[in-house]
Amino acid sequence: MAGTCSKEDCYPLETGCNHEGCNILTECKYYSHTEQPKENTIEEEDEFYIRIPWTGNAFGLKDLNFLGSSSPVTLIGISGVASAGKTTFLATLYCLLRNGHKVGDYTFSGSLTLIGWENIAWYLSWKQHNNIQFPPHTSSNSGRIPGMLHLSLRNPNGDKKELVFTDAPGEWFDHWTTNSKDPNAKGANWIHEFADAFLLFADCEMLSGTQLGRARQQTKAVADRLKQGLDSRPFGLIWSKSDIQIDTDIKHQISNHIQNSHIEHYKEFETSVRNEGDKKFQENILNSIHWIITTRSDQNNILPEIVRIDSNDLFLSKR
Amino acid sequence: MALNEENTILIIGGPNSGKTHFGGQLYGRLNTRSNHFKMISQPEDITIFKEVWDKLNEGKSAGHTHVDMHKTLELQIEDENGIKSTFTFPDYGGEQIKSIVNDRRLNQIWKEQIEKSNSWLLFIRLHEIVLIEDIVNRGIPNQEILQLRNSDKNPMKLSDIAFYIELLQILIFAKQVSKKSLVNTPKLSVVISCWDLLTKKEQKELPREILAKKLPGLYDFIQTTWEKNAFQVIGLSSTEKSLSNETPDMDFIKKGPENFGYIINNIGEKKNDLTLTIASFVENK
Repeated sequence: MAGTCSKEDCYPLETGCNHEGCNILTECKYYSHTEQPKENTIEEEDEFYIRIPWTGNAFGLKDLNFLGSSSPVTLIGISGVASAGKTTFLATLYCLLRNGHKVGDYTFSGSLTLIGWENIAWYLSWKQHNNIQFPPHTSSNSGRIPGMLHLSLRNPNGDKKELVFTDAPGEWFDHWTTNSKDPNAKGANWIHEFADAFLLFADCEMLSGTQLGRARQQTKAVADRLKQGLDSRPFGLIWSKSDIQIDTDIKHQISNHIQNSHIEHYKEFETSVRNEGDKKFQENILNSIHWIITTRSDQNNILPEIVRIDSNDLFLSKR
Repeated sequence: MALNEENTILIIGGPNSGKTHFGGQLYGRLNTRSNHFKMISQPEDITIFKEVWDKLNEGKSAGHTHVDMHKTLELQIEDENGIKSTFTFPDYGGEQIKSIVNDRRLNQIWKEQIEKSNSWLLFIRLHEIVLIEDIVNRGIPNQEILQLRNSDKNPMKLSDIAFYIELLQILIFAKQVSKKSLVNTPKLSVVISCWDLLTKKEQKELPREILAKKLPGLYDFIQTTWEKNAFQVIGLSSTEKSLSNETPDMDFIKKGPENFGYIINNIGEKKNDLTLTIASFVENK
């Protein structure tokens, strides 16, 4: 059975009827068959299905509606140039949660993009031949919205957080730093406009090698763009692949450059897929997310000032 | 739980998860009427249980349930205090559970079962689950191995943790319960089947500890989705030993299937009364 819906934000065969809630698609007034009826041997009971409104794959823009319409979402913009370790960071985060690690006092509570997570984590899992790979390059398709990965977290107080991470190709940020109006920078602009917090990736591997000059320049350039109109949104700098030593002077140069103008919430984290000695690089991945959650929660919890306390107030008299 | 409230229990188990043997043994126990729960009336059609029960009485293991679900067997049961419950045992092959996750849809029969039920028994055969070895618990030994990247073109296989989380997420969606606050109904029992096949060391631990060790992400998901008193983990060994489907086990025949099998309850106590699998929620113990 193939068919389509006349409403543009409905994908009936994949995620079910989005407008009328029909379990039998052929009964929907917006649904139309695209297939000519051949043999009508399909049993009637085959028509009825409850379809699941999420595909499990990384979210596209419209897929965000299902989540966003019921819960406040924290969108975390993962930014940085190509091969800075953005996807590997996300994959490690997922592996950590899957293994029972916590983000501060927040515990993993499911995800609507499990297949998306498993896809990137697959490369960090051991296979038969004992090899492990970093996730492949996130390909750049100009104008497309990045894939987004979702996580639910809950703390012992029952407080639930819905986090969505952008998993975007680094090329977008390359184009963006050169010309923010570049059509290929559309996605980077979208992230910059809508994200509630940012993590910028500085690649220690590149910063320690022959590409130092270029890598330093690119990192500074993305930071400059991100800082425009940042307001109170948290900005974290991730020193990715921190198991590779880099010159402290280089670190200072980048760090000082980013902080040459005031940033309300700024913090740096040294991360890597592996822990080196007593350095908890993996834990810093979790810490960076926890920092974003707590910074954002503090902002949400500003209580209104009580103007006056009047013990004779009639509204307060009944207990 | 109110006295007159109807309990409807639904069994959820993938292929080879041990629900067939459990069904047969449960039927046998309920029928002997000497356990905590008793059957109130004989169901009209007991084909699904009878095959298993007959096999077990011959000291053999029962075959595989066929894939399609055509009917559901409902047992009206009553406990010592006279509290009545309905135990729903859908006749389906475990492949259906797989296809719920893979095809991402539920048919009408499943929808009805889910709507009616207020208690779920999720069967997981833990001893077969291999711990995923990834970057987190194993690390990377050296850079050379990393050079092998892209040489492996195996397609991605969903991990057991992700599979069971997605299954429960889908079932919760179909049940139309909100996950915003902790879930109270349906209540969830995770049944670790084939408990006797876990290692000696593992068998000394509480069922919930084993679940947390073997499938940590799933345990976290359940713990942060269900209310504390609406979720339990129990161990189950339906036949206490592995039976072959060809050579009969004489000892098993002699003593009779009703004298084999036990559960390990939420607090680690071993009970021979298999009907207690469903007891804790019914009585809110």
